[in-house]
Order: sequence, then C-alpha cells, then structure tokens
Amino acid sequence: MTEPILRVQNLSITYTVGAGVFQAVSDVSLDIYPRRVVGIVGETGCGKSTLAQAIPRLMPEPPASIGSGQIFFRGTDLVKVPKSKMPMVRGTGIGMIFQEPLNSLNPAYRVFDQIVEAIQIRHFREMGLVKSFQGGEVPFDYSKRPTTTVSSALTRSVLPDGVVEEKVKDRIRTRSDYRKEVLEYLRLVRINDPETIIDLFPHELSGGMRQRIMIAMALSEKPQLLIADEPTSALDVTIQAQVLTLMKDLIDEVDAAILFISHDLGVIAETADEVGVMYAGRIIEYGPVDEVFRSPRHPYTKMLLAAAPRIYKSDGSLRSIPGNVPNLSRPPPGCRFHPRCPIARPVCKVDPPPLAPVTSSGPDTRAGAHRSACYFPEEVPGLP
Amino acid sequence: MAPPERRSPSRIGESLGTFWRVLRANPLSFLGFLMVAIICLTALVIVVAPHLLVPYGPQTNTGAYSQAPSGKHLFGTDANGFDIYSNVMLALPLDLGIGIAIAGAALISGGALGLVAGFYDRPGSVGAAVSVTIMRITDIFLSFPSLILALAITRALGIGVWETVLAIGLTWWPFYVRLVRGEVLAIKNLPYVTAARAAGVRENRILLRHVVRNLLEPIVVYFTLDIGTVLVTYSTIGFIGVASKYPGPQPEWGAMLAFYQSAGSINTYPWEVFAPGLAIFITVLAFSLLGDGLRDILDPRTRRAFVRSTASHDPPAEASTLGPGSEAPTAATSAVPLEAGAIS
Repeated sequence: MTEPILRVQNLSITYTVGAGVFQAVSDVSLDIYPRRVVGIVGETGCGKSTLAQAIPRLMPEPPASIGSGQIFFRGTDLVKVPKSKMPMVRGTGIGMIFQEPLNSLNPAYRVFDQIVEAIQIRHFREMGLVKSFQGGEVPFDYSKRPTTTVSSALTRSVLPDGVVEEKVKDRIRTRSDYRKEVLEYLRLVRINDPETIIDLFPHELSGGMRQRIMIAMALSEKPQLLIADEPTSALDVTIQAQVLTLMKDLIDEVDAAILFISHDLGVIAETADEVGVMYAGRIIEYGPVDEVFRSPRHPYTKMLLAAAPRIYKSDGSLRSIPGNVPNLSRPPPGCRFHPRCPIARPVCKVDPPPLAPVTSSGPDTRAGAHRSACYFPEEVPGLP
Repeated sequence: MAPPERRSPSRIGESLGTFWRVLRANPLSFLGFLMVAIICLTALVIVVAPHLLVPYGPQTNTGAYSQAPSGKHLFGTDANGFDIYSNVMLALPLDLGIGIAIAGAALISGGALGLVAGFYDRPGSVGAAVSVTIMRITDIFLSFPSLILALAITRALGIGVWETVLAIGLTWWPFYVRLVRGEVLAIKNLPYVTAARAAGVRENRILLRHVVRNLLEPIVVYFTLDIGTVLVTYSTIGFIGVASKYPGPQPEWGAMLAFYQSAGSINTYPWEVFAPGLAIFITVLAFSLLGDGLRDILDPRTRRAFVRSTASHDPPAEASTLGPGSEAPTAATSAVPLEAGAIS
C-alpha cells in the first residue's frame, strides 16, 4: 500500500473571537492517497473551508489556531513548520483554487504576469535557487534566503548555498520562454485563443475564464496536492459544468491528489472518489462516493441527501432538516447531531461516537472504506 | 541567452502609447498634463537660465512706479518700481519645489509607516505593537489642525523658507499614514493576496508586488492633488508673514500676496495682488486636473475603456472589446472543451 500524500490526524482548529472560542474543526482525521480525489461536503459553517485553509496554513492565525493534531504532508508535520517556511511548502507541494474567481486575480496584472509568478517560483526551485520540499525537514529558512526577489535573481544570479553561477545561467529563461510555458498552461485549461487572452487583464475576462486562469496558476506549480475550495460555487450552472468537466479531465492529466471542498452534493458525486461529510466541525461519515450517497449510514447524510432539491420530485415541496446548526462556541455534548437526530438515544448525548467502519457484511477496515460516526448505522437505511 | 533589456523597449513604448491615448481621450486631464509640463519646464528654465524668461531681478528698480500691466511689464510694477512679472516667475521654482518636496517627503515617510502599520499588524506580534504605536502618534498629530501646528513650529524655529518647509513637512505625513494603512488593510484581505500566498509567494514580495501595486493608483492621485494643497498651505503661512520676507532676494507667492494686500493697494493697483494669486491658482489647478487624469491612466479598468474608445483598430484594444460583462470569450473558448468532454 502506498503512503498517503496527506494525512490529517485528529486536527482541531479553534477561532478565538472576543471572549468566545469557536471549535471550527474538531478531531478531524483524513488520508489522501496519490491521484485520488477526496471530496468534503457539508453545510455552510461546518468547517470545511477552515479545514481546506488549515492544510497549507493559510487561515489567519490568530484568530484561528490549531488546538491539536497533525497535518502530515509527505511525512512532514506542517503544524510544526514555522510560518516563515510555509511559503516553500505551499509553492512546492500544495496548490490551491479558490471560491471567488472574480477577486482571486490581481486586477493590476495581465494573465501572463499572474501565471508566470507561480511558474517562476517552481522554476527557481527546480534550478536550485530555492530548495525543493521533498518531505522531511524543511531545508532552510525561506525568509532568510539571500536572493531578494525572483526577478533580481533572474538577472543577477545571486544564489544561496553556493550554487554554481554558470549552471544557473544556462537554465535561466527569457521572457519568451516563460511566455511559451504560460501559453501551454492556458491550453491545458482549455482556453481558446491563448495568444490573445495572455495579454488581457482579469476584468476583461468572464468568471469562467478567470477560474480557468486560477486553475492554470495552481497547476503551473506542479503541485502534489491540489486543494479546490468550492471552485465552482460562484459560477453559474453552465460555466460550472464546463469548469467541472475541465477539472475531471485534468485529474487524469495532472499527477496530483485533489481535495475537493463543496457544499454541492452533485458536484462531489461527479468529481470525487471518496467523500467525507462534515457536520459542525466533525467528519461524520466517510467512504467511497457511490456507497456514501447510495446507502448513507449516518442520519445527517441521509437527511442532507433528502434535502437536496430535485427537478423531478413529484410533490414539489422542499425538505429541510429540523432544528438548527449548533453554536460552535458551545457544541452539544456527545454526538453533535443528536439534538436534530430522529434516532438519538441517551448514549448519543454522552460520548461522541467514533468514526467506525460499517458495511452490511461486517466491518471493513481498509483505508477509504465506508465509515460512520453513528452508534446505530444499521438503523439509518430505515429513515424516511 | 537573451539580454534582459530585450523586454524593455516594447513594454515602455506600449505604456507610453497607452498613456498618450488616455490623455488624448480626456481633454481636461490632457490640459492638466500640459499645464504641469509647461510649469515644470518653466521652473527648470528659470533655475538654469533665468535671463531667458525673467527680464528683471527681484529687487531691480525699473524706474516705473505702480504701472498697470503693459507689454514691457506684463503684470505691471509696484510702488518700489519692482517688476511684478519677474518676481512671480522667480518665485515659481521655489513654490513648485516646496510643493513637490513636502508632499513627496510626506508620501515616502507617511507611506512607509502606513505600509508597516497596515501590513504587519497581525494581533499578538511585534508588528502589532509597532502598528499601534505608529497609529497613535499619527492620531496625536492629526488631532491638531495642521495649519496651526505648522505655524507654531515655524514660530518656534524662526522665520525662513527652510524652517517653514520643515514645519509643514512635520505636520504633513500623518495623512499619508492613514490613507496608506486604510488601503493596505482593504487590499491585504482580498482573495488575490491569499491566492498569491497559496502559490508560495513570500510576505515581503506580496507586500511589494500585490499590495503596493494596487495602492499606487489612489496614492499617486492623492499625491498629485496634495502638491496643490501644500502650495496653498505654504502660501497661507507666507501670507501670515512668517515664511519668507518680501520684497527680498527670493520672492514667494504667499509673501507677495501678503505684502501687496497689506500695502492696501488692492483697489488702486489690483494687478499687484492679482499676479501672485493667479500663479497659485494656475499651479494648483494644473495639478488637480493631472491628478484626475492619472487615476484613469493607473487603473487598468478605466485605462482599457479609454483606449478602447479612442483606438479600436489597435489589436490589444480590439481584443478587449470582448471584455467585461461580455460572455463572448467564454462561449468561444468553452465550445471546444465541452464538445471534447461530450465525446470522451
């Protein structure tokens, strides 16, 4: 069995706002293997975006802070990596696509300049100007690198760690080399007429185009893990379909694992291999997408699926889950879903149920197997 | 390996071309640009070769007393027989220099403090303490009316041009701290900054490349308008009579106004007051008009809009007509992947 590229263990993240402490993410464990697509689905405020931002340590600290747990990326615990070294990890291994394509590109720069920044960071890593992050100890303090900027290094060849100047000179690329490479990435994300698009400003592009540029930016770093935080939520349905088609195609072309965050069950069902369902900061069900969505084993998943609007539903009414999402500054004890759960028993109010393997034919302990954080998973199929 | 200079000519040429087109599209900013250019050129000539533009010295008795404007004395003469046109012109380099120098110094010092206070204010860090210190000192300075504070400092330092410059400079920077910090706070939480961070860009580079670039537009516009404000403030202090002496070897517009106004000649010899007043008016107006135009040039959004409206035959501009709001590029580009996706 291969090693997971990302292993999140018992991660808890809290936000301190004034006197209140919000447990945005509690005790989340997650393994992502190379070339797998893992989806995280849940309502707004369930902690899925916090989780996505916590992996490359992008959430603002403070107010956010990692209470406990580990994030192993290629064997290195990112929780222990000092913040000053994180840019290297981000630029080397983890790519990210954001929710808001409208604001995720710098309005002052042309498409070329947006993408070339990411390419240069990777390129300088490859040249040895910046050491590559291969797991293990982070090589050196990125913030104390003698080379001041990428562009000054390009012309002056000021190198850290005594890299031979000649060697680097041979591999320095000109603007036209970079242009070619940017064009390649624009073609990769299926942009028609990239020769024109490359010289445009973000405001001259539509939402779908901008999201493609974002994807190109993230891919141009050749990440081993791509985190897509609701990449299609801000787009309208037809553009959403195009971007999803693109992402599905890219999954086969790009050698990266993908963590796909969305509140849209359909999007997750389309893209992911495995899915984790989050509720109030916890993963309450996890497993292969088909299995989880066809035969959910947690009452929340079941009710969430039932609440999803369907065009062909005959009675025309929309279902909702009774009750409210709990206040995360004072989450209910035990299972966090018990106040809204139709099958809750006294035991549910005491101890939080573990995420335990479930199958109809006895427990399956393989990685990625169907697991549910419910004491009574066998009762779930009987729910309306 | 190609030399790095290769990229420069085309890029600079392109920027100049855009600059020119935006100016041409907007008559008022073009006028402002033209006026500022002429004013700066005139000031330069006066410094380098005064005899080309200035017929008399500042205290040369022309023998003509209190004469109305004429071909020989463009703005007339005063009771001492001094040529007012010469004095107004000789004051130009000083007043212009003061405006640019004070606003520039305030921009650099206040801007730097504002960047630090805005960007490194993560709660609990050293930066936050520095940020709070900077902002409280700024607040203290801002709580005095700046003109009164400048006057007080001038009185303490003594009468003179440099004393006044120093006094205004000391009161001018807090405005820039506030402005820059506010902009930084707004920009640093925008998604594209997070996106750059996610791409592995280091903090200092984010500050320079992403934050400062997007500050540039409001700051440069404010700076340009501010040159006029400084000029007016300096003239006001000059008018009160604590900045410089007139008549003297180095004339100054505010002091000229004060002198002629206090001589009570405004009804009898209005040109004496009119000339330096007009000089201040024109200079301040020029910078205000230019400031408006600069906003259009620096903001890629309006810039493209202007270029589009003036030169639709230009290839990049033509591409941009497909731009904002229009779904044309998406439709064109997405047709292919959609079909490809349908087949596969």
